Amino acid sequence: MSGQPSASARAADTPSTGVEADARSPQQRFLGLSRRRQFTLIEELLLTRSGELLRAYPCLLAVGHGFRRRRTHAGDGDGVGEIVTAERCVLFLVRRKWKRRGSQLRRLPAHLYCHDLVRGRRTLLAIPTDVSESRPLQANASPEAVDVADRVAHGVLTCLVDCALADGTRERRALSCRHVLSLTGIRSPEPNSVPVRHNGALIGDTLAIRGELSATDPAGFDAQAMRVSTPAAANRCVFTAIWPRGHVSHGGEFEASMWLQLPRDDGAIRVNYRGVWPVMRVSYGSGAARFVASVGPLVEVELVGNQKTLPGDSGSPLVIGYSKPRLAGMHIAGNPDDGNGRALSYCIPAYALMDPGNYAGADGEQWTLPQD
Amino acid sequence: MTVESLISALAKEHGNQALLAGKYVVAGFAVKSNEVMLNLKDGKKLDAADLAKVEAEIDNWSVLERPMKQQLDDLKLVLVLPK
Repeated sequence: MSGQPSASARAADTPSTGVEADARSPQQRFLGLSRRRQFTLIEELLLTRSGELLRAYPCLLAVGHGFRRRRTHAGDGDGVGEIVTAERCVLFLVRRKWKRRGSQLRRLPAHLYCHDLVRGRRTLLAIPTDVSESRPLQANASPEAVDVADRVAHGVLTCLVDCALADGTRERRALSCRHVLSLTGIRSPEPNSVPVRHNGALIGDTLAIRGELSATDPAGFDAQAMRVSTPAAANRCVFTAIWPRGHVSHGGEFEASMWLQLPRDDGAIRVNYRGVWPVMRVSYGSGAARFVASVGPLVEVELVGNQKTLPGDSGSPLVIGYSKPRLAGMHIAGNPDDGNGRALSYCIPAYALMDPGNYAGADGEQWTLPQD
Repeated sequence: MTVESLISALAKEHGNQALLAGKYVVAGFAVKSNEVMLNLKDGKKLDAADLAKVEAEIDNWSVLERPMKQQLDDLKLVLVLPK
C-alpha cells in the first residue's frame, strides 16, 4: 500500500489478554481459519465496532471488508502497482492516504483483535486491515442496450426475477438500476412508469418498485424492477445468451475473480474482488439535475487489463461462472482510475438486490431467479 | 489463437491449480482430436458427488483474460474431466 497509514506504520489496536495453547501468532491463527469463519468474524466485528472505529479515527470515511492488496514492483514484470491477495481483511476508507508518517494517535490499526473458540479453546485472533482511498464515483447511464422512454439514457437489464406477490399471484420482472429505469439525475421528476425497449422492440414497462435514491437519503439503493411483457425481446438483451441463475447469498460467497458482463463485443470482463462497502458517495446525472447520493452496500471490483466501464454499462451483471453464471452483483458506477491506473466497478451485491425489503412497493413479496 | 497456444496458456495459468480447496490438483492438459483432457495429480478421478462443484469452479476460469469456455468454443474444443 502506498502512503499512510501504511501497514508497516500502523499500530495494532490493544488486544485483551488471552490464554492460548496455540503457539502461532494471532495473525497466523486468523489466517488458519476457514474462509467462511473468517468472513463471519469480520462481519461480526463490522457490526459491533464500525461506529466505534469511525468515532476513534476522524480520517475514516467507512469501514468495509474484502481482500488485502500488496504492492508489486518493477521486477514482477507488471510494473509498480498493486495486486489483490487472497487474504481477507477489514477495509478502511480514507479521503487521502498520508504521504508521511502521521502521529501515533492518527494511525489506523494494522490489525483488529477478536476472540473465537477454536477446538474448544478461547483464542485471540488478529484480523488484518487495509486502507483504500476515496475516489469520486460516477453512475453510468447512457448508450445502447435498453432504451428507456425514447430518451438516449440507457443501461442494461441485470437479471430476470420471478416474483411471488402478496396477493398470491406471480409475475416475471427484470431488474436494473433505478438511474437507468427512472432516468435519475436526467429527468426531474422521475417518471413512475415508462416503456422499456431494446432496439425499438418493446420489452415491458417500468414499475414504481424501486430503492430510495436522493441526495438526502443516508443509504440509497439504486435498483428498480420492470414488468416484462415480451420475454423474447428481453432475452435479446442478454450478452451471453444466458440470464444469471442462482445468486450469492452473503458476502463470504464472492470469489477472488469474477466476470462483469458488459454490453460490448468483448463481453465478459475479468474482475478481481476488492471488498464490500456499506455506503459510498455516487454522483448521478449531469447539468441541473445532477446530485450526489450515499449508496450502499456496494461491492468494489477491479477490472483486469486495460478495461474501463463506460456510460451505458449500468445494470451489467457481475457473475461467477461463464456458461452457468451465478449473479454476484449489479454494476451501478465506475471509477476509471484507482490511483494505480486500475479501473474499478461498484456493484450492488446480489443478496441485497434480491431482497424485496430494499424496494419501496414490494411489501410481502418473495423473489427468486428463474431456473428455466 | 491456436489449439497449441491455448493449451500452453491453460498449462501456465491453471497447471498446479487446486480444485475444491485442494481436494484435487490439476496436473496438466492434453488434446485428443477436439477434446481437451484435464488431468489431475496422481492420476486422481473426480468423485461423482464433487463433479457439479468442480464444473462450477472451472466455469469461472479465465484463460488469457477471457472465459475459458468461450476460448474453447472458439476453437470448437470440449473440456473433458477425469470421472
